[in-house]
Amino acid sequence: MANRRKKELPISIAVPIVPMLDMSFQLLSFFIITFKPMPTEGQLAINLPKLDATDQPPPLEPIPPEDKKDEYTVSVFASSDGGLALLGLKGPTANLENIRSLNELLGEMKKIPKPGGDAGKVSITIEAANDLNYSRLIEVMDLCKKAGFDSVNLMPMKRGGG
Amino acid sequence: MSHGAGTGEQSAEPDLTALLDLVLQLVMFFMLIANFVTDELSDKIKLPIATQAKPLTAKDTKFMYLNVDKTGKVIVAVGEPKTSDEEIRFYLRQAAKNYVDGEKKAFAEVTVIIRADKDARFLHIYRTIMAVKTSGFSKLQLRAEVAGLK
Repeated sequence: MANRRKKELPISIAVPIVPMLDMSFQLLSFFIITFKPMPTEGQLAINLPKLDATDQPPPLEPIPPEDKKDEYTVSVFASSDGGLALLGLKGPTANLENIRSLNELLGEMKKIPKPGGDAGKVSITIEAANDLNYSRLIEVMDLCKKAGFDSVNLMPMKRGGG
Repeated sequence: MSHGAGTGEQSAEPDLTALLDLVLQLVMFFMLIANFVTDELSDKIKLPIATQAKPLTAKDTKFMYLNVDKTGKVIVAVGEPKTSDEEIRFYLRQAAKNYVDGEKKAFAEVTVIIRADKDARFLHIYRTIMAVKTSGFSKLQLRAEVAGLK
């Protein structure tokens, strides 16, 4: 028995690596080909619109002065292709109707006084034309945030402004 | 490398184990970062770009998506696209009813995120916003692509 063992050749176990490598390369090619980096997405918070005044009961108590917000309205008129045609800004300290560019609007919005230095006490309502492109609307919202105002509402234009 | 025994023949076998290790690591890397298209995030929607948009944080866990395409249809994870206000409201109410913590908590806690196509019209967006409002949800956000980040 012992002699027979001595004569046996050592067994070498070789795992076949080449097919495994082939398969791994195939997997790798699949993932490289199908790899598509997704753009980073972010959110812009907005306030939900108020329901019609007729649907809501009148407030029981008057709003305390410290909770009152200065309300400004940014009107956004649309051209026939959904682009920006004209902008307007109305509020306690502004009454502008012929703003032609977003930069001009940004300049005017930066002039809006913030009561007690708190931009949260100013409410901006974007009144947009029905035909306005969503990307244009986001540009205006972006601009409001850039000017420091986070409280943004949306509402459709009352008269045919698009 | 092994040498032929006694025949004088030499065989050169490269050591493939290291290469295999490397390839498997690469495969794992691509598997982990692969973005599998989820049902809720429709890749048909091309988002507008915003500089002030804030990405979701780890705290934001309770949200649902409404994808609005350029024609105003609301694409949802399950079922046909919703075309009317009533259909959108019905879908939202069903989603709230199926919420784990109950309908009331869904209305109070869940943020509805509207992913609308950049070419959609304000009319379509506002209609969807009103459907969110009238169905009872209290938190709403609009989604955009963050400028400068890819």
